[in-house]
Amino acid sequence: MASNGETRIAVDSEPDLIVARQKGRALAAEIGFDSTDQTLIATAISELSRNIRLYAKRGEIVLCAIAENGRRGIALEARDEGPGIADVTRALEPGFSTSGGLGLGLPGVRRLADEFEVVSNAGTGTRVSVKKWLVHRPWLESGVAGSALPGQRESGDAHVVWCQPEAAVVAVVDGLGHGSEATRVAALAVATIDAATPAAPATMIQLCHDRLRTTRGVVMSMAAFDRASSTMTWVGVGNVAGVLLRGDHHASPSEEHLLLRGGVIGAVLPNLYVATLPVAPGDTLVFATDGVRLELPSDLARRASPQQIANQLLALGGRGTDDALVVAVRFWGGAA
Amino acid sequence: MVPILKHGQYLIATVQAALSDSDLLELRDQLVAQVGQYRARGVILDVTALDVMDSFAVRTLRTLAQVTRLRGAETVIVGIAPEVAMSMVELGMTLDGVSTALDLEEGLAMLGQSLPPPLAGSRSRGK
Repeated sequence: MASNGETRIAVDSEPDLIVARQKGRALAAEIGFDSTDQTLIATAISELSRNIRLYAKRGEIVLCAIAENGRRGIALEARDEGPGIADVTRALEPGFSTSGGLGLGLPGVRRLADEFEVVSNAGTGTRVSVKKWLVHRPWLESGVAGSALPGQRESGDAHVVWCQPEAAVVAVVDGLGHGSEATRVAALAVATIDAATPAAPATMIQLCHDRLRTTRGVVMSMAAFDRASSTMTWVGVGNVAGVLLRGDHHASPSEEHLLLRGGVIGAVLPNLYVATLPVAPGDTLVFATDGVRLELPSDLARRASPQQIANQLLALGGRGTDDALVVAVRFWGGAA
Repeated sequence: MVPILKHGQYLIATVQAALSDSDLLELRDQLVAQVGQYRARGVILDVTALDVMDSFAVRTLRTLAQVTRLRGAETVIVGIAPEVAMSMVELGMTLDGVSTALDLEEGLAMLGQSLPPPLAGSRSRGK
């Protein structure tokens, strides 16, 4: 990332406005801006390129991914060699327009910008520079909610969320049965995974199987995220359900389900189905033990934070007949 | 560019892709003309597919709503995407004086409430 590659779009005719804002949206998405910010950026480009058309007839929009002090963002610049803005201060007042518009173009662009500069001189043209920074957030955001079977002090469900700058492992373990023995076995599986990370999911499942041979065993689903390649590899033995909810509401299919293999880690290990899927910023992985119904309203997945999703699923779907645990993890990705 | 369907007393226009400024103006003019041509009482403009709502689009839609109202038809804008709505608020753009509804269904319901059913008057007189 942070290649200083500029994208320059000539603004010469009306359809260029659409090209410019579409390229701006695509670059913003690539940098990791969410869909609202992408739309804001596209709207700003639309306003800036329209100003070029209105006042200077032709010019260009220059787009660039930027990085500074560990943060990333997008730079937009509108350049023209038109007559220039006679009174920059007035042009930035909401409601001021010399073209009969709403006078919201330039003031609106300034509102969305983190850094904004207009350089305009009568005769030499106008340059409007805008920078917008991506608000920092972790590349993987997680939430956990769980409850023990009524009457039991300890849950036989356990989880791992191990996150490093380049890779992450998420696992949900359900120790067979209930009570302290289930808790102990689940904890042993978690300790095995903790010691093994980072490793391929199939390797970690095999390690757990070897370690748990003398116990009653566990069922488990596990996912490993790779940040650089934007992929997730997942595998499940037993009945810890897994679903990947796509953050993009145009995605089809809108969710992927983990294919589970029957078996018990520590007792009967089946051939593993390991699947690797591409993930996009905003995609959310949810694992839930069989004490929870993994059914969530489709809108919830995109609107709620991972913690809210986990809480909601536990509240909606807890059957009250078993220990219950939900782990939700949202992939945001982007360069480290 | 934008198909316009006649549905009873209403015109329904559905934006299919990003529109240039002249596409928007053409759409506005066609809708204004067809309100007269078909004696339409309502216009629904579905903007689900519109990628941005910038100051030009906002101004054009406001004009459309005002002009069709003067011609006797109510305009409802439907399908403003959540991120587009968020951007409009952030940029301080409003559709004051323009009716909006979530989707086509809600838009039709809104027009149905604001207009008396066409034969209601004559039926009630017949009782």
